[in-house]
Formats: sequence, structure tokens, C-alpha cells
Amino acid sequence: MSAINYAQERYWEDVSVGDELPGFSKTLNWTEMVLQVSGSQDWNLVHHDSDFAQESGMPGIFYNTGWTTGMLGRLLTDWAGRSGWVEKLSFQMRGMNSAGATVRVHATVTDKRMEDDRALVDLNILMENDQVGVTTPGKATVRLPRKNPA
Amino acid sequence: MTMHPDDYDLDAIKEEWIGKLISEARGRYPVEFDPIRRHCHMVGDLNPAFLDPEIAAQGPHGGVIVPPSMLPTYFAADGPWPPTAAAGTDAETTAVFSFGVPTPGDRGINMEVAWEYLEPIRVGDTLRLELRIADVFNKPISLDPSAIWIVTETAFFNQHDTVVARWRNTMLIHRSPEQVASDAQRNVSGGKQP
Repeated sequence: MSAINYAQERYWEDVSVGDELPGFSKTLNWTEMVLQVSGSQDWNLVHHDSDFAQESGMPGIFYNTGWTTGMLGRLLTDWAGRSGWVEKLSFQMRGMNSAGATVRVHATVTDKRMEDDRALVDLNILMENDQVGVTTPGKATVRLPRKNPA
Repeated sequence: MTMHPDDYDLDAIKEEWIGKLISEARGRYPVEFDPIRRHCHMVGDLNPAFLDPEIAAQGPHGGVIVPPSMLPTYFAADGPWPPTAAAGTDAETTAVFSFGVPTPGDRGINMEVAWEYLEPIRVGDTLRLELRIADVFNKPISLDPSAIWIVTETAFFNQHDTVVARWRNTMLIHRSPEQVASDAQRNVSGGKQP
């Protein structure tokens, strides 16, 4: 069972700059490797063929963009509550998440603001692993409901 | 297929390709429950907004939506990526990693991604995309001094022709160490070709 109450709202007024999203971790075993190809339908050989990846100059296979987006998206939607909406998500792939690594995603609230009628929260997001450290820094903007909309 | 960097005319490539509409792909299937489930299970996402039709029907979107983290390219094109004969998909429209842009290398790594999610994408929607080349430039990497970076901009439309998402992506195209080593062989054997 998940500890997350997906039916609960997260209101803009209850969020503060500096709030931490604890996120979650995942260890990249062979089952996870298969799931990343199945779930993303990314058939690029560098994500599942070790020989091809090494012949291409890589240390080995590494996890794909669809998986990375999925991990960071889950981080945001787990936190955003029932009516929260992810408006923007961007990230850079600076390091590889490879077989055997334990990967952690987490985030920090950096700003909250009103833009037109939208109550927005900006976040710095981070993916890191126990093999190479930070692999994927990024930013996101999430729109949240207001308790007493004007 | 690779080419020697001395034969590569980046200015001509930029002139020809930047701004070019590369793909107007249309989804082979409507948005479906099961690919969403597979995406969620890939990352351990148990959110009923994406997985449970009954609970999602009572939510703010009135039904299951595609998670923002699921690349809508899956539903706006032929499914698996890159296009490959093994999947019975058309490799002509996107020409694998380089989107058809000629490059010295033939190996691709995705480097940077920026998404804007404008409207919910619901089960049953039909999607199409328009993909354009936004930039092409050379930036050496340790693996390949002639690596080419290709920036694309893609807009996703639903069946009402509403833009539901925008995607800016930066792909790095490089050569294998063996291919890079072949530069030196050519230089030793005869230098730059006329």
C-alpha cells in the first residue's frame, strides 16, 4: 500500500519557500531495466544492450529519458495533490543512471507566485545516485488550488 | 552511416535544416489505459488519477489522464522509439536519432528536456505532433570532438486541434571510439580529401 493520500488536496497557501519534497528511491536491478524499456517503449540499444553501449563508448547501459521523466514526474504528482497540475518540467542529463545504482529523486520549493489567476510553485528538482552523485538537475512549476480563490 | 568531419559543412546544414518541419506524425492508436499503466509501473507510480477509471472519474479531470511524465510521443506517433523495422514503424519520417539532419556520427544520447503541459490528455483522445528543428551546433565532448547537438521543438495537438503540450529537446549525436579513431587513419593515409 502507498503511504500517499492521493485524494488529498495540497493548497498553495500551505506551501512555503524552502519546503522539501522527500521524494523516493529505486534500486536499478534487472527487473527495473526491463520495466524501463517496457514502460517507455524506448528501443534505443544503449538502454538495454550492454555490448552495444560499450562499443558506443559508454561504461554500460543507462536508463532512458522516458524513465527519467517518469521518475521526476512521479515526484511532482505524488506531492501536488488531487488537483495540482504540473505546468513545466525541464532537466539536464549530466550523468548516467546505470544498472546496480540506487537512485533518489527529491526537490525543494524555490518560489511561489501568482501569474494571472494561476497560483504557482517553482521547484528545483534533483536525481542522484550512489555511483556518480547528481545525474539530473532540473526545474519544475506546479499549479496548485487556492483555499479561497478570489 | 557516418562521415568524416572534414566533409561536414555545418553552415550549410544550419541553412537547410533550422526551422524545417520534420514530422507531422499522427498517433496510430488513441490514448489507451494499458500503456499508461505500464508507464506508471515503470516508476512505481500508484496514483489512481492515472490507474483507476472509477476513482479518476470523480477527480478534477473526469477520468484517467496521461501522467505529465509520460512522453506523449508514444500516443502521437507509431509507438516505440526510435522508428525501426522491427516494430513495423516508418523510419523515414524521423530518421532515427538525428531527425534526418546529416551528422558525422550515428549514436544518440538525449541531453536536455523541457516540457510545458497545457491541457489534460485523456484516454480516448487522438494525438498528433509537429516537430521542427530549432538549432544545430557543434560542441565537442570527450568521446567525440565532432559531436553535433540537435535541438527540436515539438507541439502536440489533440483531436480538437488544441495544443496540449510543448517539448523542447536537445539530442547529442556522436561517433563510437572506433569511428573517431578512423579520422586519424584517414589523416595519416592521405589527409583531407579534395
